[in-house]
Amino acid sequence: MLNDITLGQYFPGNSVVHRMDPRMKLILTILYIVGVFLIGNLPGYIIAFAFLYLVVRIAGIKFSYLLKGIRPLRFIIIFTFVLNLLFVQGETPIVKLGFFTLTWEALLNATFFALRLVFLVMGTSVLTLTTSPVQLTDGLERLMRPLQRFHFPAHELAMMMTIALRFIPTLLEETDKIQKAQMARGADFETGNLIARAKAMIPLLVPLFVSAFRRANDLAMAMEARCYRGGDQRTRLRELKYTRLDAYGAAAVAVFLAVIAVEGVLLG
Amino acid sequence: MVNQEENRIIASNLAYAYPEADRNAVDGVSMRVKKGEFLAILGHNGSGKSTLAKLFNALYVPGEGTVWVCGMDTREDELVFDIRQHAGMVFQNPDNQIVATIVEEDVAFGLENNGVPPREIRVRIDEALRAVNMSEYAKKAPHMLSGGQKQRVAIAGVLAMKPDVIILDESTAMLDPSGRAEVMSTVHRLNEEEGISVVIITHYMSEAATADYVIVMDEGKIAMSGTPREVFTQVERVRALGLDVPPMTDLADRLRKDGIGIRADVLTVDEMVEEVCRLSSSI
Repeated sequence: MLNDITLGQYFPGNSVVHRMDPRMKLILTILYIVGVFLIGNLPGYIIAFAFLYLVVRIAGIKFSYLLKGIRPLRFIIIFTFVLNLLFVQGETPIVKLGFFTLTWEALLNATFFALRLVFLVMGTSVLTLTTSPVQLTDGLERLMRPLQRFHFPAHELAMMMTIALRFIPTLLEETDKIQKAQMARGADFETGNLIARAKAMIPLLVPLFVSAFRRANDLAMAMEARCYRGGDQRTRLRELKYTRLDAYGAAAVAVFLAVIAVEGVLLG
Repeated sequence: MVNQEENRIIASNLAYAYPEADRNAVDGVSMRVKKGEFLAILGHNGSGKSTLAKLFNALYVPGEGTVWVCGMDTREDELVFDIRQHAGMVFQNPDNQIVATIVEEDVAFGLENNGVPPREIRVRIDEALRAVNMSEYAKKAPHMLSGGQKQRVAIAGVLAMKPDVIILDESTAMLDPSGRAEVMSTVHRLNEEEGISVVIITHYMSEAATADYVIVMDEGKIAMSGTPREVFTQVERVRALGLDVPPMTDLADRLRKDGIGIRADVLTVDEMVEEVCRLSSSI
């Protein structure tokens, strides 16, 4: 049960994509997704797919990893697809079923919407598969740093993410321990219907929460003892540096956006 | 005033009560930690020993009395971070004091907080990890390490700050015997080679037996103090305070009660061996 939580699905590697600066990867991922959302016809999506496929090949990741990321979202994708199918008004009917008319525009719209979601997930998967959680947190913190001027808690958010990442394995281990302890006392986590199983989680979650709060208290004291005083004037061991790789990456995405734009004008 | 040069920590008539507590957790304690000294603070649960440790690090501010850490009064707000740099603290639970997801980043945490330039951080964390023999684990994730290794990482984190005193607040309590030995040998080496003063809060008598000086706490007050030999030979008094004496001292005590003329101040196994040999040769 505890093994299939894949938070931080980092796929270690040493490819060009892996070695890029996390900040650049974040920006480029956002740009790519914006690009995909602006696409308005099928050939555009083929180009977007080709680009993604190329990046994935360069990164040396199996394409099936990207598809795995879509699975948990399949219901949302199907739901938006059906919703669009039903409620988009169009003029070119395909079939008529009672008072419901399926139009060509609705079908197109629904397909595009579903595709956008699929690309959104796949695009961000490329980022999380090639960037370790630590790098990602670092990149996020530094990208958001300018926002601190407007009292946006960039450092605090990054710190929270780091601590969460640090404690996930610890708490998983603890959950396992509590579960075994409760099972030894006759607790049953596996049989019964959904409600019964949810109820069975209570003796697991209560001790887990109590312990998590105690850990938080200890950690806060330890951080204080080590001179923690927020993000001001804090330095970092690892500094991020843009390299030539980042320029190549940026150029590639720029070309992709240009192609999308031209294609949109030509076929639009 | 007491000589600040020779003493790392001076506590004078210290009292501290937790909010909403009806009695002082620390009550009228005066003591000092000398330069290069290895001091053990003993006491049963709730005797105030951990509270005392937190007063040395400005985590708690004394209700009455004063603590000077390297000449700095812990009540002065602007000195708090200097004090914490000079008096580093290692806590009990190895899991709950590591902040970062990579060992070397955790060692760097304190330095990052103090705004040390990245290049300098690199040098100091490499040194610190070498000093605790954890260099090869620099890039590992903390949850892959054993308890003893985690505590050594925590010590490295303190060491990187170049402290004058390291305070270990029951840092071996959650470790297995081999982890405990790892931590204790590391701390002893740092004390001898680097001249860093060490304060260990513990309830393991064997750890206290290796200290230069022992303080026994009871009900927030200092009940006994002296060298380990002076303290532990008062077997009955130590037991009355809810503590054990080191195993070899206990054995010597029992032998004496059986009428065997063994020395009462035996602390370690080696000393016991010597004594037994002396006795057997004299028969």
